[in-house]
Amino acid sequence: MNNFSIENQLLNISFLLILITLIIYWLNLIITDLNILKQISKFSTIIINLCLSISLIYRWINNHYFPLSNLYESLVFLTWGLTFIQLILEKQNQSKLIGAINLPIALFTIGFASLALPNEMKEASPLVPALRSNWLMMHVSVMMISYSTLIIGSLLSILFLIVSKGKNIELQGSSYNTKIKTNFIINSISRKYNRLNLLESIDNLSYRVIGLGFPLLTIGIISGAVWANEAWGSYWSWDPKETWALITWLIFAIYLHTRLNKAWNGKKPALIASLGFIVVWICYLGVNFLGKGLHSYGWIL
Amino acid sequence: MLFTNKKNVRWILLKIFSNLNFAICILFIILFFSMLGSIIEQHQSLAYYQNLYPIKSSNIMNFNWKLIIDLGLDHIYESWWFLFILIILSCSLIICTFSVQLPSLRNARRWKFINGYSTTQQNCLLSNNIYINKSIINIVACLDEQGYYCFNRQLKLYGYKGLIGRIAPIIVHISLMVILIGATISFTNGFIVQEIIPVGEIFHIKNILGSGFNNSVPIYSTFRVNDFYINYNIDDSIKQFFSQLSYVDQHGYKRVYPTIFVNSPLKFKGITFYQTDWQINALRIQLDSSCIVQYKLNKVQIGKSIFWICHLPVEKNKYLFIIISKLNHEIYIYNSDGALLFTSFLNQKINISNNSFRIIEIMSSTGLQVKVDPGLLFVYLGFALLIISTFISYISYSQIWFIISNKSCYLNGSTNRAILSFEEELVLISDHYINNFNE
Repeated sequence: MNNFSIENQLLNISFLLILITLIIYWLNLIITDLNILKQISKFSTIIINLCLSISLIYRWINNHYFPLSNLYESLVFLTWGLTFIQLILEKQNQSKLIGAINLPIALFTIGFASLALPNEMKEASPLVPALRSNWLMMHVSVMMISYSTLIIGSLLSILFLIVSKGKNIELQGSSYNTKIKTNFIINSISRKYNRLNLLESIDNLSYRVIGLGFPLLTIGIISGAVWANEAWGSYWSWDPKETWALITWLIFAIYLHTRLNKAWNGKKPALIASLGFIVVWICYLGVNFLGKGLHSYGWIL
Repeated sequence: MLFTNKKNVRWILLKIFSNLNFAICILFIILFFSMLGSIIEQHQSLAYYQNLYPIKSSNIMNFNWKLIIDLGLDHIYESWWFLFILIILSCSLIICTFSVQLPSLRNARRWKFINGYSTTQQNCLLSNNIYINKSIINIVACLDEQGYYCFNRQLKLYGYKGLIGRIAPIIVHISLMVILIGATISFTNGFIVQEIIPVGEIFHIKNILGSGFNNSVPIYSTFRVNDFYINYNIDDSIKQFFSQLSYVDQHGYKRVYPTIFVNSPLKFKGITFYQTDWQINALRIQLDSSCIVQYKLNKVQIGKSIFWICHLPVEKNKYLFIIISKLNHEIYIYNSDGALLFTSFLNQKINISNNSFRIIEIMSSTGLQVKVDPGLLFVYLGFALLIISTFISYISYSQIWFIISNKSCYLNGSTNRAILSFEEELVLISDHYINNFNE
């Protein structure tokens, strides 16, 4: 059994587990009172993440560099990032929605890596001189984790738009309301405090997730700029991938600014975040398939 | 009258530039043109655009090459109007910082005591002055535990925390300004030079690719390429390529510098030398241990493999083909029929039909990029500030008011983000307060 087939087996197991876990998550949304489904899905997500981790570490040990040098490796890492962020968010929020909307994307990325890419694109090849740097691990891994986080945050915004379709909404959990006072009458018997409804919790969670992804994207872009300056003497060259990373950054910067504006409350920020979802995918996959620029993985279309 | 009008115009402009919606619009415009710049290929020839975007007279709204050239869409990122948009963004950042963010920070530092709300009395916690004193002490202890700065006046208490979260947006704006200033300094005072220099040659910085109008290219500085070599992987792909440079001063004194390679440039008196490219030029062949001749090598690519080939005349209508696949490795010698005759190395004597020769050198060149970037320090400072401030900006600025009114206690709170966490914190404070009070 060669190295590649071991990796392949691990990815196939991951693919199968993601498919099963996705079904469990969706069942859990329908049958809400079964706690065992929640436990199974959580455990299964941990197993998926472990399988992907082992696959990446195995490839790292065999090839002596962090596996982020081609499209196949980056897709596997993106799937790992999606499941990892999901686990973190579920630990904090206990929400069944995150897995239900995240796993279809994870299924797509792992499926695309396993099934759509030709074998020569999956094979590890020695790094080109420009990639022989510690910045590779720093820059690309942070970018991929930021993409994972922003994808989940954007998906939550899309879900918010779907759920709020045809509804006139007034959110109290929005970040703009610096003037709203939360009143508590403190006494030994009763304490009244507000709990957010489904829409508000989706909106709030989306904001928090994008709020986590945005600084990561900032670090990713900046580390890339520093590396580019070290490698070929230009921290910004308007390369297509660089430009689209900037566009992604601008989209989410606009999103975060709209959250501060009372006039933009509700659906408008969610629309921008939904646009951000498309932009992230263009930035990550679309630009590479042009086969142009310094970041191209080569193209298959 | 004119003065007041000017004042009004200035005031309106300030109001527009500090407006959040205006900033969002500017960001959308930058976003749109950035997209456009990645769709329309930049810096191509006129013929390229004419071929790809022909004028079709049938369509009134036709997007054609003439439109691209006239609007400068062939070089969006260097066009005057794109730079103008960036200047507007800079102005918006500065004005927003001074007219909105700084006053907001000053306001956040002030004590704000408010009166109690008219709420129906129910199960009052406090009933007399002794308990009131105890209440104030307890709530101060609870708030202090949660990291609040507290201010007390009579039966009112005000506390805040996370003021640094209010400073962060100002630093974000400043960092973006510092990056733009750094980029401007680089644009006006910097230069980029690309040189392809044969090994052993002395060179001056002269092949300028781009330079600012206020640059000072050190044209009299003399450098020498002492050596160039390549490391290969097992599969014959290039692992890394290296150049060894030295600086030659006016007196001919040579100062040798560390070897440079991709990702490891050389910094010298504000000039940075980057290893960017390489090429194999020619073969130096010694014929019959006497004269030395030089033959140009031609680059040929077959699939993913690259070869350098030259042909050496030996007899009339007879040639030897010398093929090189790697620098300073095996040399393959074929006859004109395509049969492999020898696998040779450098300085190895080769005898073919009463002729002897040896290949004494594979002449190579190194590709260097030479750059002076005086704005780099500002750009890096801006980067550092941006990273730090982006994270700091997620710290919530929270305020708490504790009021004793009509024998009731009220706890009021306000925060600028993370409302759920803040609500939980208020519940925690009230729990602590009740527990302490009942002890």
